[in-house]
Amino acid sequence: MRNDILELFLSRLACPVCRTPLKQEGEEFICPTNPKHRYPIVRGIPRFVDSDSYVDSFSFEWNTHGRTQLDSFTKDRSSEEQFIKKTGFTPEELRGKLVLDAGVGAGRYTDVISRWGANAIGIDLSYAVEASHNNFSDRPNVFIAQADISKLPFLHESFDFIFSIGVLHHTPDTRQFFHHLVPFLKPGGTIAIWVYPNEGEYVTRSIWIPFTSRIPDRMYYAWCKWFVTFVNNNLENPIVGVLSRLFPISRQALGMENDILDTFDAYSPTFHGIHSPEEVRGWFEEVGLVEISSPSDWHTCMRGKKPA
Amino acid sequence: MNRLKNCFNIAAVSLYLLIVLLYLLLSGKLPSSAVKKVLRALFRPKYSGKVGSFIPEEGFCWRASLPENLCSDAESASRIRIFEDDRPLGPAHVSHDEIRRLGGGRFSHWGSHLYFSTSDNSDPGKNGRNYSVREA
Repeated sequence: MRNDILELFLSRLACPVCRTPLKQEGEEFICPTNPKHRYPIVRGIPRFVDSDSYVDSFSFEWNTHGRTQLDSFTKDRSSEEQFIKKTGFTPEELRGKLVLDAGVGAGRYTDVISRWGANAIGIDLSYAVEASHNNFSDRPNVFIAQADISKLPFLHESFDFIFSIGVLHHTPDTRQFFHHLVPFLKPGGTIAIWVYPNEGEYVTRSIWIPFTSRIPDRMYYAWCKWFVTFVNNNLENPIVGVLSRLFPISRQALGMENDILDTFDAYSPTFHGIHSPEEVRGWFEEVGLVEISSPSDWHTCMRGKKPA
Repeated sequence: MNRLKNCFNIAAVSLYLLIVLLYLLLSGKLPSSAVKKVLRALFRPKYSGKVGSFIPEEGFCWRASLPENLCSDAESASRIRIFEDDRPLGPAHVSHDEIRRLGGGRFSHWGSHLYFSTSDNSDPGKNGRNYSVREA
């Protein structure tokens, strides 16, 4: 059964540079147009990038917290509930379809859709692909590759559905990277994204990012572990209260490990875009998507359909 | 050795972020009004007083005014405790939705208002009880 997803993957593979279908030779994929374009398979994962570039913090984060947010391991439905709120997708919609998770991380949402019966291809620029590959090694309907959203290794119009949750705002240009995804959607297919809103704590965080993103990951992670625990244990203290509003930490009532992970995630990335629903709707309209809607009042989520 | 390294990491990052915080506050990139309020609270007498002029808010929730210089949950952590006659009400710092739906003495101090419910969800203006607040 794992051969099915592999076949789906291979049939849609294309050179990110030349856009010609790739052919596999041993442990690498080669572009027939330009044999210099070679993409190795390392530890079972096809690699279409040389390094984790500006997303090194996510390489550290998702290999440290490989299973913290996966419902299959936490035995709850928190990620599934968030996925539905942010995309509006249903199991009936995705079952049996080919779905791209653009920015798979450790596989929080690929875990959801693969259990729903979708055929999931997850890509990530970071080495989080190591964690997601391990998490889904026994799932016959999941395939993971390391790739850049701006240079996806697929043929155009490959996917029935595409989603990207909490990812695009960590790229150099949220709008541009969203537009990079749309050509890979089949006519009649639906794309859904969730990006940071330009309100509340996200605005405060964006003020800190130029400073916090420079801290070495391991140092900052050690500090997050201490600070999140300290704040949660001293919530009644007014000084701690004001500090936690000037430097908002995550408090999602999903456990301390989740709060530490989320606080690290919030301040360590290089890029931190914030966007209004009106702005994001404009991006969807620019590329001719239709039936554009916000699946919930969780800002800023948006979905749209490619005309058939 | 690891513990020492961990302590160093925490101390170094804390110092760095404190310096950044000072820069952001002084440059106005982060609002300093909450910080000033909290610092002033350290040097003034603790507040206590009667709660009057209850306004029905929604559901079991009532609203009353409090002095503006008190640190509320909006910008910090309120130290206000509300008493029904001499019995403390609670839980404190709950969401306003929870106060409206469940009442039972739940309360919140937000901005310059107290959002609260009576212990038995009765009307505080008609149940013959006295309501007062004190900073803990």
